[in-house]
Amino acid sequence: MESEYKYSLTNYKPYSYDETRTGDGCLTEVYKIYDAWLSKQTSFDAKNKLADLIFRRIGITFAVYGEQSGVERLIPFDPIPRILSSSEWEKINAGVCQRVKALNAFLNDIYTSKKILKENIIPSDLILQNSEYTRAVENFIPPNNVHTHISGIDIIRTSPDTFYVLEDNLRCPSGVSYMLENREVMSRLFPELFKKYNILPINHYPHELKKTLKASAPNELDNPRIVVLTPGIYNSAYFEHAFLAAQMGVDLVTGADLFVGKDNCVYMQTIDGAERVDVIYRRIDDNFLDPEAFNPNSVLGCPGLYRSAMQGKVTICNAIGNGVADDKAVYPYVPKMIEFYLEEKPILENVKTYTLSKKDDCTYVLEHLSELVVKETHGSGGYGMLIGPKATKAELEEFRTKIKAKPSNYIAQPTLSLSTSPTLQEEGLAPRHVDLRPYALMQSPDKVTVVPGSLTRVALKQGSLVVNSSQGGGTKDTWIVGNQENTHA
Amino acid sequence: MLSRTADNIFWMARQVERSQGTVRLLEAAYRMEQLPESENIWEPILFISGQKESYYKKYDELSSQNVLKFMIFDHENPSSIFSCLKSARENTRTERSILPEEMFESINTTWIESQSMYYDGILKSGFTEFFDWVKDRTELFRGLTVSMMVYDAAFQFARLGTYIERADFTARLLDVKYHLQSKGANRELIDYYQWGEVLRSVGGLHAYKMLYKQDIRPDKIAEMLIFNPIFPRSMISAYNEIITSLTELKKQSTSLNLAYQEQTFLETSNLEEVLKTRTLHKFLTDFIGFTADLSDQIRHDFMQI
Repeated sequence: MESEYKYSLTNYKPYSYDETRTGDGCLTEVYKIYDAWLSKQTSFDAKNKLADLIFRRIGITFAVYGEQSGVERLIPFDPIPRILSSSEWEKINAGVCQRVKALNAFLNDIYTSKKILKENIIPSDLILQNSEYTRAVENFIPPNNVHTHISGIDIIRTSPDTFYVLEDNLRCPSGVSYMLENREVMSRLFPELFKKYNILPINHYPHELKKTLKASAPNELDNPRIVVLTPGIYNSAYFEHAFLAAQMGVDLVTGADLFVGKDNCVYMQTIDGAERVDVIYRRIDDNFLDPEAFNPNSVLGCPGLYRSAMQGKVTICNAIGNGVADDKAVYPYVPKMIEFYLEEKPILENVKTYTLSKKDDCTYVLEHLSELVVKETHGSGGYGMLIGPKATKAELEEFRTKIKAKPSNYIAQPTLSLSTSPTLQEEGLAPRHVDLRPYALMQSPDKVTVVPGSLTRVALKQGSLVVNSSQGGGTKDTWIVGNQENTHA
Repeated sequence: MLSRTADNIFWMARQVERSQGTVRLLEAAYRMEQLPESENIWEPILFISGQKESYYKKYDELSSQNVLKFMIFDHENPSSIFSCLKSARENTRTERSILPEEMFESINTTWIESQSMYYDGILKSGFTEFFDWVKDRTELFRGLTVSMMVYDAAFQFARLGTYIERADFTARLLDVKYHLQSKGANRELIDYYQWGEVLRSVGGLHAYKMLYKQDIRPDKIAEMLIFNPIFPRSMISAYNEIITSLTELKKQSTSLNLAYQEQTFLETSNLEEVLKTRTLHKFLTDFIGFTADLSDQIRHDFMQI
């Protein structure tokens, strides 16, 4: 039988730090307000069905690699929002901006004067011998000194005041379309909530993105031609590429639509002939961007793009060579970058990281494997990862062998208890672990914008700490609730 | 506009129109089969779809069940309804960033619904209902094209795709009757019904009665489907639309010259004239070949293909 208080947050029992609770276990102010509405709900069945229908109709699907081709799946969507107060958001926002500024300064530095290496703040070998360090862009200065136009910073929370950055994504961070579509769907499902609460809008993200891309144009053109470069419809993020191109009103191109002319400028093939391209928001990795300069077997890119970019005829966003700054082996040094370049104290915490190429760290990790999380330095998407406390004996042994064979391939971190957030399950609300990915846009090294929202990913399996969609994760809408005095209620 | 985009939109519209053409053809055959002495109807269907050879590679025997399966579901048959819908959806999805969102949502819904359809299911629920569903979904998509798209180059390529396919299809459909030489004592009656089905399959039964105010006569039917500029599925209508779109795109092009050549002929000729020099079957075959060349020329002129 449906009971009236099935969804009440006061009856909801988290087992570890939960987003709805203050330090002393009470409901936070923002969740109190939401609970007033939530506790009156008796069923989400109809809303869930509608959400599913909307997502399928608009075709927000992703292809799972390794599954039968052509299979398209929806990322599970949870209708219970993750809510942050504006003061919590201020801290995240400031922390993200700070971090992105430092990382951009780092990229500017290591590809030119290398001050941070010369002053021994970061070991030179770690950078210069890093496979992500791109010699081909040494001494190249991108327009406005911006390398990191678009960044996605993965954050987890372990207590009301503690936010850790788990990972910086400075190459082609994806997921922003889910942030925007989740909001769209939530506002269709629960219009009454949006009328009642002061939820800060995020729909201007594509507008901000376009401003950022415009600002990156070579020679400060007034009306540069911007394109989004996609690998094509079989890429798992194709929906996002098409979505962003449509929202910005720019062309969505594949490598085959582009060519580099004798003048080293980039052109696209149109029905009226060749047209000049000034800015490429690429969603293709460095390695596949230009078969002439990088992987010669790539069919996704366009020969000559690198050459054109180096001559300042086109801007590639994000810049080539960013991978070295979000490398997991470089991650432990981000707090030092913040101090070195900005002379500030880091606002967001860094997770204690063991670099296995260091002998002491490696010994420690091998002794404490069952307590730690081990990651491949170049891995992503939650693949190639060991979660010690959840691993079987065989898995632990397998990783032990792998680590011993090539320690520099791995880093290890303590297993952090990610915060949980109430998530809809058959029996009612249950705590599930979440992370947070805000998106930062950089127009110039001192101007970073973060729209007041994020992608919240949720590990749907009970107790799971892996939120990646490729590993059974889902998403939630993320609300930043402004001052309640401004509400229309 | 990107050349590849133009090509994708051209094919998007063609494939939707083709899926509708295929379903109209199947419906005509399905109904003709119910007439006495019409057991040979399925082979001509395969022939005019250009799929006879690939059918016999797959099936030893000719049967309505096999042909329906082959022409509705078979993904190896590029003219099958589901093949067309799948490609149309893929092209729409590729270009969704420049198309009104309703268009992808509509074709995507069609595709999702088609995913749960299979032969035995349709057999139970009725083929007529299935034929109607395909016609409704494809007409809805075409309606969105006309009522939601901005009248820009993309719109012109969508129209070109639609009308090139329609010109081709009407010619093929009219040719069905050539392949159905009826014999026997009931010949006249069977002819009457078969011509009626040809008309019905292009939605022309009502138009014919209205325009010609007389009994079903093969020469009049052919005249309407080929030469009548106010019947929307006639071959000349299709060419008129093709010319409008080509002119919108570019004041002068080789494809426009080609299109004018055919249109002028259709405008100034009539059935009697045509039959003086060649059979109807030969005329239709020539027309189909010419239209295919025009399609290639359009892609060459605008899409660098």
